[in-house]
Amino acid sequence: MESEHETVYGSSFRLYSRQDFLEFVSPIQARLALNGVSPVELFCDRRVLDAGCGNGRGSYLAILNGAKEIVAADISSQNLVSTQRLTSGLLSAQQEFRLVQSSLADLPLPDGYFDFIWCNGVVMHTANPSKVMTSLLNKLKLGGKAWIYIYGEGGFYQSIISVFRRIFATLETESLILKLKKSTIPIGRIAEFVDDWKTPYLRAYNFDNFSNSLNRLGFSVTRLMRGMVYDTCEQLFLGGTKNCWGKET
Amino acid sequence: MLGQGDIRVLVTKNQDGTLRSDSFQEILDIPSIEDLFTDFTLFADDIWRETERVLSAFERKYKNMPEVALEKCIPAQLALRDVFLPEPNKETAQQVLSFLT
Repeated sequence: MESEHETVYGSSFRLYSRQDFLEFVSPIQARLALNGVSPVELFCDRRVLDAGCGNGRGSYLAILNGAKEIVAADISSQNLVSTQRLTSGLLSAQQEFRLVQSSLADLPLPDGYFDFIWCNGVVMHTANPSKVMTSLLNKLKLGGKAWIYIYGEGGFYQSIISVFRRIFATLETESLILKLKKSTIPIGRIAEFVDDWKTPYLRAYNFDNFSNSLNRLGFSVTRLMRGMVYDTCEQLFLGGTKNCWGKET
Repeated sequence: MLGQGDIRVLVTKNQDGTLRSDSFQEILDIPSIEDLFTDFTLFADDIWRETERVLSAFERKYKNMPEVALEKCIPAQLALRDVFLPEPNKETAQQVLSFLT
């Protein structure tokens, strides 16, 4: 079922023009800034793995911020083509950039090699998240850092999405993308819709459980709460739940 | 209403050694959200009852008609992101649900 990523992500990410792509990158740049995270500190002179690169946002940031070696890995061959296209012409002569088509659970890369791993919105969509997480963390060298984004469980948004996913389960992804393209919604939103509706796996996690298991294994974890106005973590940060209902926060 | 919120973390490796996947199995290898039962009875508030009622009716009506459902799901999904998420409250949730009734 993980091969479905070719259709879901390969097909939607390939629609992006360079301008669409830059708009797609900008919220990430904003999130880094809002959380006081310097992209230069993360990437400059580092060996970087862009794990589940999609159309290459992590690679783009790594190249732009002076990474010395970047490996972009994705199970979708089309995503690697998109990454190559959308990052072309950015590399300096001192930078090395490689594309690797592979499941993240079985990456053909050495353990303890990378200074920094970028894995943004990927783990919960894989067939074996525990194997992916283990594989990625083993690729980090001692003292290395990783940016990881996963979905948090619960809430109104996911109640709606879970119903939509059941309804669209029988609709072919390509057919859905075609219908969405015929509507008036922008390209970036099509990828967003398909990401929610047709990704083969959409799991959502508990932060404390996730963080505690990492702590037990010798990792320190800093949660980055600030984000865009539509990020649920930003709303939690702002105390947006005070006007809401229900027992959870 | 917002659940756990988006989980974005910076993780630092402070200890060497090879990890095994069973360390994460219980936490990460869980069912996809559409396979989980949402127990709306946990929430006493009216809006959750309304959410349950609208979603149940919508799913019953459209489960075999995804192409027809799409016409309602597109504006609902746009409202989720553009109206509800920036201002998560009863009124904006009702705006989302209004597209599904």
